[in-house]
Amino acid sequence: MKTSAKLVLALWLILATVPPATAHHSFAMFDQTKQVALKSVTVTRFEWTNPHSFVIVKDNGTTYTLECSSPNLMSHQGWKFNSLKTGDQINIVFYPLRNGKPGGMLKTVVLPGGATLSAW
Amino acid sequence: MVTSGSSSPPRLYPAGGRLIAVAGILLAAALAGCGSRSDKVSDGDTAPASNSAPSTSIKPIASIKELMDSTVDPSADGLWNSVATISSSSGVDRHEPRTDAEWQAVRRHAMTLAEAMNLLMVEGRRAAPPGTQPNLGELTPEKIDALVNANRDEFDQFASSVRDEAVNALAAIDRKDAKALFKVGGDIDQRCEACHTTFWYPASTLRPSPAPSRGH
Repeated sequence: MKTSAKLVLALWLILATVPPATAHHSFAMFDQTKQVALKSVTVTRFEWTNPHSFVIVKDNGTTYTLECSSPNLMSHQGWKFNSLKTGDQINIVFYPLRNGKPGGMLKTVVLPGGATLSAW
Repeated sequence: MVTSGSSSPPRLYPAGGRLIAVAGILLAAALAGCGSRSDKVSDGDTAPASNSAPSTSIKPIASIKELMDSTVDPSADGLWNSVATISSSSGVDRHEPRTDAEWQAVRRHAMTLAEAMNLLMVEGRRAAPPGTQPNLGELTPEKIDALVNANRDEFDQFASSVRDEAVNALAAIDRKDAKALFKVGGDIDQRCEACHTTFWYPASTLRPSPAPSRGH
């Protein structure tokens, strides 16, 4: 494969799996009348960053992008920059996206050690 | 972008050179408008004193939406993205400004954000260009305009609170204190969000939900 083709593929993979830097948005994109619970999903990425942190998990081949609050507010809930690491098996509850895409607003996570953290 | 050679993903905002130019224009505009808050934008009913005389009063060109898109978001993103910890299959990337050039790049973002908040407080600036459709959960631009005009002092307090936090960011940057910069970044987010939930999407907030169910 030529270098340019490799670069295009690499950029596509990054953009397809990484949440973009986003402006603020309303919470209407999340369906807060529903909650989805998934058990033993695998953490593939944890972004401890402003304005919102993100947790990316995989479950049965599907990748879920989950938005959290800001690190300041999450810290009050007991979160740290290293609360999650790649490969961790966790249980999650989230408010799904209205557009049907795999992801949403993370509500709670049960860490491998059993502790439960709220993401908002 | 300030990554200190990290492998963090690319972020989508203007390159540094362009941002510097925008910051310079904004700074000049803000300084030119000092003390002219009472100046009114010409409504077209009054003929200018001279066709060749340039107007020296503040005249908002961009809507708030356009000012956010062109200036506020890029500068806030530049500030927010400058300090982060990313855990991925590549390992743990704790990036923050380290060289003088990297700190200077973040400083430009903070300065731009601070002055952009002054521009937000210029009266006569509409929420969005005519015909703009609201994003999901947002009020229409006309309703936002009405809400801002009816609560001008509150709107200005939100804008000035973000400006003051941007000044705090400048202080953290000048101390080269990445931890403080990260904390201020969160404070800026909270103040931005408070304004947005008041004027842009007052009906779209977090609320309790029923018990979880498996699957969508």
